[in-house]
Amino acid sequence: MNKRILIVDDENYIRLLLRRTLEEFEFEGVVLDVAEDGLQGLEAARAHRPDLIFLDLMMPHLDGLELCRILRADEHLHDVYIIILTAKGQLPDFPADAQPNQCLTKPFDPDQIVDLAQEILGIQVDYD
Amino acid sequence: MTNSTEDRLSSDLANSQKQVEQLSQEVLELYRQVNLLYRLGDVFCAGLQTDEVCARLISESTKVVRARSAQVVLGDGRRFGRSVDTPASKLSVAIETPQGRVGEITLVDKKRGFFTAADEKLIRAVARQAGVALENSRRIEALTEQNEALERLNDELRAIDQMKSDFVSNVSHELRTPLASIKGFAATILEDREMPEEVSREFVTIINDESDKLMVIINDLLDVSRMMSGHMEYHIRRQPLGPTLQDVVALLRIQADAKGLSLNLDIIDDVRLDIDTTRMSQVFINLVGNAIKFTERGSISLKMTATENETVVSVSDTGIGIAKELLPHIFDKFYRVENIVHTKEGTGIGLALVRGILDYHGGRIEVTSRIGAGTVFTVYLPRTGVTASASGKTLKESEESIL
Repeated sequence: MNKRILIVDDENYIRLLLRRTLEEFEFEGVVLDVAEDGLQGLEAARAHRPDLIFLDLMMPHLDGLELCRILRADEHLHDVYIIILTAKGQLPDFPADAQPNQCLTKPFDPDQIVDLAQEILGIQVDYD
Repeated sequence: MTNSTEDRLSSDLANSQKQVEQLSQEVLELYRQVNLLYRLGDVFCAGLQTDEVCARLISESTKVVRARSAQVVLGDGRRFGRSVDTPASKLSVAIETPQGRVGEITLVDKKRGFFTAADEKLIRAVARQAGVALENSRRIEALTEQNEALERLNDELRAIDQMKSDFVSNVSHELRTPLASIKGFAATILEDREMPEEVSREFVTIINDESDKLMVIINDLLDVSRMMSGHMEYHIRRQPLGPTLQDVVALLRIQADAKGLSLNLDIIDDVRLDIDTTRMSQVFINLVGNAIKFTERGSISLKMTATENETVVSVSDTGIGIAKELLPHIFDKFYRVENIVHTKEGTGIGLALVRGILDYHGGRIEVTSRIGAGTVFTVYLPRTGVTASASGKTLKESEESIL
C-alpha cells in the first residue's frame, strides 16, 4: 500500500509550498493529501489513514490542537506521526492528550521538512 | 489615770487605727491603679484595630476608677460602649493624638459625686495611651488601604503586561506567516535550477504579495507606536471624502473578488471636510479589509450620506458578526475578537488606529452587529472642521490614559 502524507493548513501559500517541498515523494509512490482546515483534515485522515501529518495550529472550524486530540483518541489513527507547523511566537504547552511527535515554527526550512519526511517514512528521495 | 483620759486615748487609738486602715486602703488602691497603668503598654499593644482599641479603652478606664460604664465617641461619629441617659456622675476626657483630638471617652456612675480630680488624671493617662494606639491603628489601616490599592494597580499592570506579551506573540505570528511563504518560495527557487520560468515567476509573485502584507503590518505597527507617543502626523486639508472611498474600494476589490463577495460604494452626499486623506484611507482600508476578512458570502456595502452637521459613512457586511459582550472591547488596543474566530489573524491594532484617527478629526465610530447576520461600522465626521491642535491634545491625553 502507498504511504501517505497529509498537509493541513488554512494558508493557501503554505499548502502550496509544502506540496512543492514534498513533491519528490510522489515519484516514490507517496500520496500527498491536502486539507484546508481541521475538519477537512479529520475527514481526510479518516478516509485515508496517513503515515505523516503536517498540521497547522490556528485554523477555522477545528484548530490543530483539537484535531491532534481527536486523532490521538482514535483507535485507528492514534499512532499517526504528527508534526505541528506553527507561526506562533511561543510554542504552546501541548496537553497530555494532544501530544504531537514534533513541533516546528514557521518560517521552516524546506530541507528540514524533506529530511524529516524521509526519516519518518523510511523513503529516500532524489533532491537534485 | 482617770476614766476620761482613758476614753480619750482609746478613741484616739481607734481614730488612728481607722486612719491607718484608710491610708492602707488608699495605698492598696493606688497600688492597684499603678499596676493597671503599668499594664497599659501591653493592653494597647501594636497592631490593634480601631474597635479593639476603643473596647480596651473602655474596659481599662472603668477598671481603673471602678466606674459603672463608659462610652467612646470618635471624631468620625463611630460609637463604642454603652451610653447612659441621665447618669448621677459623669466624667468626659478627650482622646488625643499628636495630630489632635480624635474623640472622647465618657465614664458614668450611679453614685453622685463619684469622680474625683485624681480620677480625671488617671483617665487622661489611659486615654493618652489609647490615642497613641488609635493613631497607630489609623496608620496601619491607611497602610493596608495603600497596600490594597497598590495590589490592584499591580493587577492592572500585570493585565496590561499580559496584553502586551499577547500582542507581541500575535505580531510575531502575523510576521512569521508571510515570512514563511517568502522564505520557503525563495529557497525553492534557489534550489531548483531547472525551474520553468512561469513557475518561478508565479513564486516571485507570491513573494512580492507576501512582502506587501509584511509592509502593511509593519506600517500599522509604526503608526500605532506614533499614535501612542503622540507623534502621529496629520496633513489636514478641506476636501471631499468621496475620492478616498473610491480609491479604497478599488484597492480592496481584488480581495473581495477573490472571496466572491460583492463590494459596493454608494455616495449620496459628498461635502468638503477638514481631513487628512491618507489617514482616512487607512481608516476605511481597515474597516473594509476587516469586513472582507470576516465575511464568507454576501456583500460589503459602503454608503456615504450627510446630515446637517455630520458626514456619515457606514460600512456594512453580511459576515459572521461580533458577539454583544465583545463589542465594547473591539476598539481597545491589542484586542482581537479571538474567542469567536481564533483562526483569523490580526495584530489587534487596526481598530485602535481607526478610533485614534477619527478622534483626531473630531469624529467618532459606532458599531452594531448580529452574530451570523453581519456587522455595521458607522463613521461620523463633523462638517465644520475642528482645530487640529485642540483635538490632537485630547487624543494624546486619551492615549496616555489608556496606557
